[in-house]
Formats: sequence, C-alpha cells, structure tokens
Amino acid sequence: MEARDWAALPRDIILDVFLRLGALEVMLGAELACTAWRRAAIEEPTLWRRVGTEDTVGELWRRARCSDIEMPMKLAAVEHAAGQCEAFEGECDDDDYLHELVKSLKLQNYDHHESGNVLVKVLKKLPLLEELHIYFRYVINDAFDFEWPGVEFREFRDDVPIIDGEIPKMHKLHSLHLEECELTAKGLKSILDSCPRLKTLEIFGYFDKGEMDKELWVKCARIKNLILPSTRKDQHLYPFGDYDSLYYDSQEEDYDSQEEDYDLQEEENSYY
Amino acid sequence: MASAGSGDEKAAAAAMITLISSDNEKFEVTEATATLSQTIRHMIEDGCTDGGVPLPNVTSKILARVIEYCKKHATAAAGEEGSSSSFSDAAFLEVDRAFLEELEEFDDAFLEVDRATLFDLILAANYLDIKGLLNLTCQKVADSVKGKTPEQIREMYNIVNDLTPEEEAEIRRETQWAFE
Repeated sequence: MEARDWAALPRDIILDVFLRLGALEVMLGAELACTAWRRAAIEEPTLWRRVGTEDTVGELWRRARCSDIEMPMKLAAVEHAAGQCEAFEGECDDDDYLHELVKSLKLQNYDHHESGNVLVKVLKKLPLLEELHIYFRYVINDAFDFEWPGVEFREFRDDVPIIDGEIPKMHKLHSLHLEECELTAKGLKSILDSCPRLKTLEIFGYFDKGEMDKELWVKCARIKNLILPSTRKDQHLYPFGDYDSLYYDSQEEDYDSQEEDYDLQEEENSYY
Repeated sequence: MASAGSGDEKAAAAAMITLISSDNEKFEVTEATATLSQTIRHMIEDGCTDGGVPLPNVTSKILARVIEYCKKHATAAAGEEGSSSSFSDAAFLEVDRAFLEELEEFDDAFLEVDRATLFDLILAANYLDIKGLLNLTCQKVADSVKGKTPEQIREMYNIVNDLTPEEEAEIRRETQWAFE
C-alpha cells in the first residue's frame, strides 16, 4: 500500500481535525507530531478561542503525566490565541494573561488571600465580559471531606471573602455567578449599579436580606434570574443556606468512614 | 461498479451526470447524487457538465466510494422531503428515526477503511466539497488521535518528526508537560 503523507494534509483539514480535538488536547499530542501540524496549530487563533472550557478537561488531566501542568498549559494556550481568546476557564493567579476580548470568564478556586485587587484589576481589563463565574477558594470542600475532624468550622467561615466594595463597570455583563462568598447590601448595590445589562445573578454564600432597603429591592426587580443566599453570616456556621443545620445534626453520628460520608450527602439531597 | 447509477433511478434518468475519474473510468450518477458535491453543483449550474465531468484528482477506486456515500445520503435527503406529506407527524418521526439510525450505521461501516483510503477520501471530499463526507472523515481522524502521545500519532500516521532543533527547544520551553 502506497504511503500517504499525513503531514502534508491541507492546512484547512488539519485545522478542522484540531478544532474537533480542542486546544488542550492538541497541545498534549497532535501539535507536537511534526512541523506542519505544529504550525497549523499555533498559527491559527480560532483554535485557541476557548481555553479550558472543553467537556473533556477532567479526563485530560487524569491522563497527563504530571499534576501541575494545568495552568502552564492554559497560559500557553491563551498566548497562542494572540489576543483572540474569548472564553477562559481556570485559576486566576496572574492578571496579565487575559486579553480584553475575553467574553466569558470562569475562575476556579479564586483565593482572596492573593488580594481582591487582582480580581478588580483583571475585571477592569475585560470591558467585553458577558459572563463571569467565580468559585472562591476551596477549603470549604476539604472540610466537607472530613479530613480534619478536629478543625473548627468557624475558621473557614471567617475566611469567606466579603463582597462589600465597588466593583468595576461591566457594561456587557449579562450573567454573574459567585460561589462561597459573603455579600453585603452595599456589595449588591454596587453589582447592580455597575452591570446595567445584568440578566442573571446567582450568589451562593451569605447574605442578610434584612439589610436591603426599598431602593435595592426595586433595583433587583430588573434581574430576570436572581438567586441570593438566605443565610446571614452570624446565623449559621456553614455557608450553604438554610439546610446547614441539618449538616451539623448529622455530625452526631460517626462519620469516619467514606460510606458514612456518602450517606450524609444523600440525606442532605433528600431535603431539596 | 463503473455504472454506479443504473437501475433504480427511474424518473431521474433524464438528469444523469457522467463523472470521469483520474484513471479515465466513467461513472453515471443522478443529478441528486452528484449535487451533494458543491463543486459539481456549481458546474451543473454553470452548464459545463456536457460530455462528462473530469475529476483528475480522484481515482476510480475512491470515486466509487464517494459515489456510494453520496447515493446513500442523497436518498436520505429525498426521503426526508418526500415523506412529510404521506405520513402523520408521529409516523414521520418514527420513519425519520429509523432512517437516521440506518444512515449512522452506513456511515460507521463506510469508515471501516485503511488509513491510505481515509486520506484519499478526505482529499476527495475536500476537492469535491462534500460537507458531510468531510465531517465524517475528519471526525474519524480526530477520534483516532485523541488521547495519543506525539510519538503514537507519528507512528499511527507514518509522520516523520521533522521539528528543527530550534522548534524543539521552543516547544520544550513552552510545553514542559509533554516531555516530563
């Protein structure tokens, strides 16, 4: 059988295949096969338009050879995008890699210890942002695993970042989703004032609805999909809404084994 | 195999097109089959198909496969248009689903080819501008590459590693993950 020169496939076709694979998958294999494939990848900004948003990302990291490659890979991908990256999902530990064209930003494990200023700086650089999801920290999840039975949950509670101050103007933002934070009335007012196009606002953590005045309620009325936490910070130790009292009751039982852990979660789900 | 478009196309006999492969074999196909190729569709529209359409980039072996694909998918398209009047909506959906399943099975079986044939099919689909066939074949390549290391990909597709030392150095600097 006569051999075919796969390296010499037309550029359009190589790119068609690469777009089906997604940026990160290409970076782990195809891009490194030969010069032609490498050039096809790095010279085509469309391939890098969405970074870290693939469904298969989890599977990708399991397969990768070392554990701490995620951010270096994503940063290299953003670099390849040559300013055309529109959607990014990852961590935020460097404020210089995101370009102003980004429309959708999902930050995982955002650590407020780094400084809220970094976040504000990042947001100020993204005037076209339409969607913003931030998951603050992840210590809470560790607590959930019962890894440190002696730890006081109050410490975690105090660590939750507070959204209280001014946020940058985001004229195009239509969807904002924040998890594991505390929101004050002032913070909410700032969000509503700074994001005139906002249609969806979902916040999970603490909020005291009693702080809201009439004006703020009126402002909220224009948000089509609104989820605010109904738990005050001083009301409960666990920040995920009203059902956390249940969580503490369950602790009376022995929760040392993993199985018990699952039982607990099931029990919790049944209350939804 | 040469007269791919005989027997079953009755009324459409008037609109037959002759395709001529690079090794000069002639294939008679219906216009409905031929126009799955945008390239040929444009030729028909421009009225330059008299005396046959020469396809100097496509061998008879590959052209026969391409026509097999187009015939199947042209029937599918015709079926969709024709059946809506003669079935109730529910029955139509049922027929539709069965047909799509059959088409999927056909596509799967169609892709059971060696890599050289896959390569030729991609180039033919690209040249003839047959969107469905190009999607199908490119997806096949993507699926086969997924989860493979650069070395495995080179082996599978007989690709020589021609990265220059400079490029290798650049890649190493930028993508340590692939080398650790």
